[in-house]
Amino acid sequence: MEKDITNWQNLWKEEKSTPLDLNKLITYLNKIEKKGKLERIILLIAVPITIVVLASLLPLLSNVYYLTSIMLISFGMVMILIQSYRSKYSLISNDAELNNHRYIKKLIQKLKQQMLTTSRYMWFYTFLLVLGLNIGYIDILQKFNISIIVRWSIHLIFTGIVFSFMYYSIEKRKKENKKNILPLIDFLENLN
Amino acid sequence: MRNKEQKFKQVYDQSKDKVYRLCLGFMGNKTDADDLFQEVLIKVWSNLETFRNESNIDTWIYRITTNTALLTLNRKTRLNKKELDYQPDIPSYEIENLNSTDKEEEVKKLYKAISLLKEIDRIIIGLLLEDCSYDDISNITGLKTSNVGVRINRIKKTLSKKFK
Repeated sequence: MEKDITNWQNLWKEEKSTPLDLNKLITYLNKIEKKGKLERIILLIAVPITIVVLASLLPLLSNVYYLTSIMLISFGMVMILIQSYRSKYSLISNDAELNNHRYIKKLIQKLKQQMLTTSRYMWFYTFLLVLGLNIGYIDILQKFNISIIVRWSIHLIFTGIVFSFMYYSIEKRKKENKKNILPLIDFLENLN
Repeated sequence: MRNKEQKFKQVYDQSKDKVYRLCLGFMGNKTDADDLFQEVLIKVWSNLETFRNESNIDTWIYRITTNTALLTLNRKTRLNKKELDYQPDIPSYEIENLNSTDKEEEVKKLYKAISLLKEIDRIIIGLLLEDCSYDDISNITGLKTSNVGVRINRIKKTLSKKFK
């Protein structure tokens, strides 16, 4: 057996990497790094700009219904964005510090987070979206001279439509996850 | 920046062939191995600042290589899934070259046999063939040293059968 290993080792070491133009490669890597830095700077600039834009909308937001509505929907959106960001593979930056076992665990964790976004957080978002939109509509509907029953009916129909739409989207996404992510989790769990 | 570039060149010169062989053993064909090799180099570049000189450079780079391989495999599996249900990659180690020598054929046969093993076993045997000790392999894969030994014995048997 030891003879086999030595023989395999000799054969294994016959393979060599194709020579690369290292200077060209370093220029390319520097470019990628600069691009990443630029993206982070843009993001840093984008946040205050968004705040300024929102502040300019303040007169509109002086209406308590609109303000509550926008706050609820924004909160829901931020929650989903954070959740999606947390499930990104690229966030595992300490490759060199993790052994394969722990790295696979991290990958599985990310995939589970993706599943959780659909099964739980999307429903939180739906709830906040429906609540926020309905609160916004209270003020809009008040401006029309319609009876309370009609107003309630509009709210209910509107809620029904949004819920149905979100239900359909979430279920579709869940099915996709079942087809794509679950087998991947199984696959990764079997690697260990 | 200059310092980083120099460090990268040093790591590259020292480890390029070892990393490439691991990529080839893992992916089983040169096209995928080249892609993986490039991805590893990008990761090495971005992780370079985390490398401390007192650590073992080989362990550091092998962890990056094997983790990147697992991530690539994960992505590939995901892409494949979109078209057909997952089947383990059936790697091909290039089309038979009529002009290749006996030794070249043997090399191909070995890489092909390795690429047909289970994913973690590909990593283990690759590391063993790169002269890593059981402790190093345990450190890189996260398996217990005793488990590494058991798996190596099993891999040797499988490879011997496949290689005959």
